[in-house]
Amino acid sequence: MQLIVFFENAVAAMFRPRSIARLVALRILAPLAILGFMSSRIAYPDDWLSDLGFRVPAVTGWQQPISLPPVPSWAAWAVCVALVVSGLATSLGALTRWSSAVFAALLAYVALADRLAAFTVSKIAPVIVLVLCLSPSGARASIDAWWRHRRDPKAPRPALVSGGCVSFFQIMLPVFYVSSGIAKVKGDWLSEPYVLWTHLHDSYQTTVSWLLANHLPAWGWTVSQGAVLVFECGAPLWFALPFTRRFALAFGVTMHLGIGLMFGPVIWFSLLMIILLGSSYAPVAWLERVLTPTRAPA
Amino acid sequence: MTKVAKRKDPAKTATGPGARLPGAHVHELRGGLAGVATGPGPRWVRLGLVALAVLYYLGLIHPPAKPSWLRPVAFFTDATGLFPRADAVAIEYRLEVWACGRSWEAIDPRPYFPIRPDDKESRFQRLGYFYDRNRTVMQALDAYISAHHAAGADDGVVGRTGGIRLFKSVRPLPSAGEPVERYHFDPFAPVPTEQRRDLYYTPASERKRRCSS
Repeated sequence: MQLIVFFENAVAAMFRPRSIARLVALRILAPLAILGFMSSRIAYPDDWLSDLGFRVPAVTGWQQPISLPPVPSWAAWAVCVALVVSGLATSLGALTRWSSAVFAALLAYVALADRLAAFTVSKIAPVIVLVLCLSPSGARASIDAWWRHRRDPKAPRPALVSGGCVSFFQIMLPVFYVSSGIAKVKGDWLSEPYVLWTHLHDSYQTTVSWLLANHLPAWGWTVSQGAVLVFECGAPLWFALPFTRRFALAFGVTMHLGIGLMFGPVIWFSLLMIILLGSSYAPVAWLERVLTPTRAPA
Repeated sequence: MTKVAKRKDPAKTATGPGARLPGAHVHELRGGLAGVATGPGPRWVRLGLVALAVLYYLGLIHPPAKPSWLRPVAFFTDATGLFPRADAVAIEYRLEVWACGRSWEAIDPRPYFPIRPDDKESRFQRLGYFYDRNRTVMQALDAYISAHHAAGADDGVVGRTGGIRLFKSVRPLPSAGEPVERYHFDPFAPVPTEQRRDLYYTPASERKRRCSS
């Protein structure tokens, strides 16, 4: 009986209205991190998407979920321009629902069109932007809100948002971490004490990781590995319990900062995860303080 | 436009500091004027979205078995296997071309794959990783490199070429705690024979045909 009550309370808490600041922070920042990741691809539309670059033939295999034909050069350029425009429009909250729908669709397309250039950010970005599209993320601190306020100054300005929109991201993070933790447990993280060390020797190496590799004692890598594993496997607990939540947030941000600094190209993934963590779990008063300059227009 | 639903007594549901958003006006909350912004569509649509969210979470935890029609969708949930295994060696894919009248010569793949050319997020490195055993893809790479070299790409090799050779360099890692070398990608750096694994080469008959045609 107590379990049912607990479950009912948990579901009720999940859907209770929350501060819209979390959603707004995510809407502003996540598209910028995604565009940052995409920028090195967007700079070469022909190589990325058109028939002028190398295209993998339509072969069956685990590598490619679907084989999409290359597009002409002009279309590749159009996709890249549309990606930038819709991403920035989403961040600014301009025609948010439409711009984010276009952004999400294009992100899904480019992820499927070129498997060779698709990574974790390519896979989670369309989902994140789709949720922003299906939520009222443009209701505050946006061009849409400013425009609405200009037309009708008496129109209500929502301070709250239905809880499901925020809960999606708050649940997604621990689910993501625990899934990653399970993959690590199934992999080598319990049997090999220097997994992190082995990833410091190729093109992901940065000056920071090179310096650490030469100065951090070997046991330091094992300790870091254990801490990451405990954090990821226990993430649902760390983020659910109020008294561990802020430590989980701090650890998560530190971990992604470390990953970003030590594994060069992964920096955009790290940045996106830090934005997700901050928007979902940072004290809402902090987010509201950061968003203060938006008070005047909307 | 975003729908703003009015609640009779949102103060009862607005817990914690949520009501302190700049411009949110606490007195409005108390007076029952503040709105709660909601997503699009009626309640049943939003409940449907919740169901989809649950499926997405399940997909993250355990990517579904992949019948062909589901693979494009499952692709977006197969995202959490981050560095699950230890590297045994540092892998780097390299390319050589058969220079007509000479022999195999190292070539710079970066002009052909300009996206992130110096690290393993390069499309060339990914191509080697995903398709090094796939003959159809390797033949397509052969045709692509040969055509663009003939068109004058600046890849470090002059003259006509008869085909390509793809190999990977497998560099052993130092033991934990040993000095680590600073990495930089050099497509022309020599690779010791014992660290070299040939993956694909254009058949000799085809190289001869191309060079003599």
